[in-house]
Amino acid sequence: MNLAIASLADFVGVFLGFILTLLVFSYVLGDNPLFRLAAHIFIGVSAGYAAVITIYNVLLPQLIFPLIYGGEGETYFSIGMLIPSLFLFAKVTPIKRAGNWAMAILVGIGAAAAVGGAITGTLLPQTIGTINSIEPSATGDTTWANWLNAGIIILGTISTLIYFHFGVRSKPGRIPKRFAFIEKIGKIGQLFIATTFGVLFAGIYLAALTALIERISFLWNFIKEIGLQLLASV
Amino acid sequence: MKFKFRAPLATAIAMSVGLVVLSGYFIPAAEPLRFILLRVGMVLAAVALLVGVINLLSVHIRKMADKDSNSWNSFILVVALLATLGIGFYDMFKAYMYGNPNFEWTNWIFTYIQRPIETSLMAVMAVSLVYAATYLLRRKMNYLAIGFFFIVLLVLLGSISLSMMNFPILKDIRSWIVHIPAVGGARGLLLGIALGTITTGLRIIMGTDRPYEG
Amino acid sequence: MAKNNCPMCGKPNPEDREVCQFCEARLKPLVDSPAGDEDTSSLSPGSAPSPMDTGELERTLPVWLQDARGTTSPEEPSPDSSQEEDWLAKFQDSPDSKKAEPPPITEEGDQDWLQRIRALEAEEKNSEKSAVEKSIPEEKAVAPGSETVSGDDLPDWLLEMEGEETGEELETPQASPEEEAPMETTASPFGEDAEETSFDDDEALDWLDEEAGEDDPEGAVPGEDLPDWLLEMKGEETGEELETPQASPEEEVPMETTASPFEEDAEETSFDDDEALDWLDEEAGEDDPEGAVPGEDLPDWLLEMKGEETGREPETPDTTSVEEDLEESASPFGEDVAEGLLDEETDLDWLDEGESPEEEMPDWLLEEKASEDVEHPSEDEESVFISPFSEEKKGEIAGEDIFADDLPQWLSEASDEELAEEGLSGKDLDDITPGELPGWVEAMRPVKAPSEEDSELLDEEEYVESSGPLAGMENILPAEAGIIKAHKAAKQSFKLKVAESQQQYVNLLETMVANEEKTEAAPAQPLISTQRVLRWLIALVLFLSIGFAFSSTQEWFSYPFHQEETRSINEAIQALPEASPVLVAFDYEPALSGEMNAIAAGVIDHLMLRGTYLTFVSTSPTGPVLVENFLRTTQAQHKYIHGQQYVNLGYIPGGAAGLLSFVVSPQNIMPLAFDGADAWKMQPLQEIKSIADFSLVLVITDDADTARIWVEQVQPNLTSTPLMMAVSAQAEPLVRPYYEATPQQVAGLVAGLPGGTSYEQLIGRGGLAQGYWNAFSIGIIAAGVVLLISGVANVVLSQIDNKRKYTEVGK
Repeated sequence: MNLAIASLADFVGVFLGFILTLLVFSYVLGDNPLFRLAAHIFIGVSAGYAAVITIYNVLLPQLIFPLIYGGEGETYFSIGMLIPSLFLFAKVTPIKRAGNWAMAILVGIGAAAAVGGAITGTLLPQTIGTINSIEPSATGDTTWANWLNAGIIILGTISTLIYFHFGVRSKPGRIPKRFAFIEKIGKIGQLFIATTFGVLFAGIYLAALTALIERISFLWNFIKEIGLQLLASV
Repeated sequence: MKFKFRAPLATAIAMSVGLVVLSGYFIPAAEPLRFILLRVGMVLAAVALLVGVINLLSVHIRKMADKDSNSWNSFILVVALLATLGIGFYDMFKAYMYGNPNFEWTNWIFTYIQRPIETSLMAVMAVSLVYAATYLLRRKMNYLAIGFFFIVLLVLLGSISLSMMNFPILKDIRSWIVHIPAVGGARGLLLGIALGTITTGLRIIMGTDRPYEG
Repeated sequence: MAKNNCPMCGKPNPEDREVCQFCEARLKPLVDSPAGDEDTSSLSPGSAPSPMDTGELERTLPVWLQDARGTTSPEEPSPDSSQEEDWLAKFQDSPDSKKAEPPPITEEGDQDWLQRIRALEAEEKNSEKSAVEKSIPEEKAVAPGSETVSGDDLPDWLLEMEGEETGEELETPQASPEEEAPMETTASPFGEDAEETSFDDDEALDWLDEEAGEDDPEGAVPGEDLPDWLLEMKGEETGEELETPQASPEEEVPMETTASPFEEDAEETSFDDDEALDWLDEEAGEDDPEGAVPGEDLPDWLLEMKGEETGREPETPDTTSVEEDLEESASPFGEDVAEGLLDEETDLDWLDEGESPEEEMPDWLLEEKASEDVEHPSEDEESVFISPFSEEKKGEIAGEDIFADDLPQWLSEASDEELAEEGLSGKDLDDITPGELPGWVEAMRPVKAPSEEDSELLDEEEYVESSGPLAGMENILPAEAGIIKAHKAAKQSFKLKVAESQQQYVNLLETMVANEEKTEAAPAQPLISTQRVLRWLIALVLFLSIGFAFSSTQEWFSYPFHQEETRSINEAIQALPEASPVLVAFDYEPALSGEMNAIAAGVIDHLMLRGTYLTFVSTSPTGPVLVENFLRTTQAQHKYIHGQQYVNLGYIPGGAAGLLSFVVSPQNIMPLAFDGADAWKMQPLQEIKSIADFSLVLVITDDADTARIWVEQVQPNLTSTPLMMAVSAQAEPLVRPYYEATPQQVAGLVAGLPGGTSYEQLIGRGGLAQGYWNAFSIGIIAAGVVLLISGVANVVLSQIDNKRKYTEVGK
């Protein structure tokens, strides 16, 4: 893989990328101003970029253009969306509360979408999937190993859920405690959670390792293609 | 007792809007109204992103006035943000005026500034994760920590195979861990997340939680 | 010779002595003890407690019980006892304070509107007669304070309420227009002015003094002076029979004004801590004119309070002394308590007995009466006292526990339970023998000796009415102001009693919280520390090993064998016809573009090989440019042209909600492509009405939450279209359950670089993933080796630590 430098702008960009990569890598030596400089550049650029894309890709075609060029229905609809949008800007002014109702629309829609999705997309299908894992007709595998594995999956699912059950029975004069049964199942759940988190940790490391490989690859190519040439010319 | 009910209009709006959108999942007749609301919500989400950017900008402009060491960083951030915005608006202008929608300079900023920094941050994380794992047993050595440590080791080493030296047992163990107990635990976590989402969402729809107040 | 034990010091005294020769405490009560004294005398403090050493047990007592013991112990008066004495002393001071702070609401303006109200009401109720006149024919109904008031100044709802209440059930007495002041004062607590007045402790109670000092001296507490709710209640109880004497229209005003507690302004009044207790004072003010409640009905805790206040311990629950207690101490608890206790007819017997002549009043009461006589010299002659508890009404009121509902449940329960459990009521005390009580309980029980002050008031039985038409009659409720004077409720001390141990805990907690709030500066690490060196070493190992992998051309590692989930996605793509519309979501952050590009490269390559029409979307703002970057860097060989072979729709904002709207109607939500062209003009996309019309949906994401949102919002809306995913290694564990589910929610999965590499193997084309594989494997081995070494080192170090600890302990 090469750096694909086709123009001066690309060359400058690659050089800038090389410098910025080194600035961030300096964090390995410890937190330092160079790393913080790169981090703040990143925050500013990413926020600006997101704003540009949002304006260009969403607000102009969805809100502004229909207002100017749209038909009657589109115009009214755009006005209807424009009013809460403008009130939403009140959130960054001293009259924050004026934007509450517009924010309420956003929150209400988001909450309902999340609830509906969780019910129809995760809760019901995953519950059915758990039940079906021990149903031979569903899996088509009736070996003892499959039964054992299905049992382990069910045990892991239930015990993990139970581990996060923090309901207690409180009696006067006693420290509130979970049911002994739930406590024991919860201990088993801890094992499954540790296993899942172990796999997750390994996955995050593998993802980060791939990013490191990509960056070292970039540095390697930069040194090979540009750095050595620069050194030679000097 | 005095019951203080704040933002009644906003609460009523959130509740009614939420109920309509939620009912659309189960009642087909509510679909048209739900679609209108979803479209409004989508545009409002985009506006909210802009509001967030403006807020970030104003906060760091204020911080620039402070005479501490961070004011310089805030200055850098503000310059980077405004420069990106300016270049983005220039590209937009070009796109609509001259029909050249390739966003050349915005993409340049993304490719050579944003992406290298973000990827490098992720790359540094690899070092930090290995460092954290080495300290895990030093900090706490119980059966869960030991189990976690060995799971990590097995999953990592089971992902590869040397050409000259293969350990099929390691791969099998890794495969079993990833496909059986990890799936059980992850399914429990997913169901827990779903239940938590439902609870939180219903609290908002019922007006118990009002995160839009401010 | 018979001995008489002193109730205070317990020492024997000759029987004929009235005061203790040792401590000068009164030995003989001024009145005979009620029945039951003989039995309860065995509990007198003079008797020695059983000789049990319970000192050890006391340590195990809870702190509050220790406190309780401390406060009830006569030897160790609690620090609050002084305050409680002050509480009593303030009764004496109250007349002065009343004078010093005149009621803020008595103004001429108020009189005018009240007169107008009265005039209006008089017209409305002119025709109705009062039956109270019949029931009490000998009593002349003369309202103490009245004036002509127009209803114009009253809110409509109040007039309506008044019309309903008074017009239908009651007819209020009329009074002469001259008597305005009482009306105003009864109006004052909730009148407009009062509402606007900030309720300071003293100010808030002024009206009580006025009400008692000006209304009551006139002796008349007719029905119209009662609050509406009380009148209404009476009306309900007696039905049509209960009617108040016919009165002049002016007299209706007190009723109206006492109805003012329900005015809006009163409700809107903000209650500060002190103000919140004003209702207690108000209710006390309303109670007291109606008479005190007999002490028999007082709960034990009130008796205890009395005992603590006086610092003396009564031998028995003294009925008559408690009557005075009620006037003083029950009033803070308002009519709910006081009237709620009027359960039975017998409760009102004291009314027949209790009289307190002036001669036997305490000095401060006499002073108070004298001062009020000066203020209202002619009232005694003009006013006629109509007792709300006269015989005719007594049964009606006492027949039912009319205020039982008004009592808070905890209060009624507590009083009942305490009476039942602690056995401190007159009857129950009889059943307790002293031998059954441990010493420490006996020592802390609330007993009280009669004081001189008590004894003077105990002689109320001998009271003879000295003024008014009832002059000369015995055993009637005294009309003098001093007797039924409502006093300002004492300021109760609400300071928390805190033990030393509790204070220590509080201090500790405060210290902890204070420390939490402090932001501790991160300890400055030395430039070279063990941790830093370790971090550098790890970084060096990783960098060198990966760099070594890139420098080498040899492949030491075999590619991973493809998994079932990878084969599923491969088969699904392979089955797609040419130019099939495929939706591809580029939902990853640039941070993981290195990994995601490598994972997705093989799959997108395969899709392009199949000649599918690709439609790219993203729920991340960076998605659109990532698409272009990806296509330019990894798929340049296909030379796909935007608009002809693929379309980049761009960014869908709104997370789950935005995605859901796109699922329902993609053409409406994303009408334009990222370059501004009409996205749905192309042939493969013209038929797309919903997301289910795509042939395949592929989600490329690095985030488990994003993957979950796609599954939740999109998958249920897909009928036969498969949902497939190419995910980062970090998202795989939480996506896999969707793939492993039966039925599958995710039909195919390419997870991590191993997945990407195996997919490239499946399609037989080398790509980015395979290019990274060597470095990836070496990086894993490097990490594994570091972890193994650190694990062994940690075990060894912990063993060394343990040995060191053992040897230190051994030494």
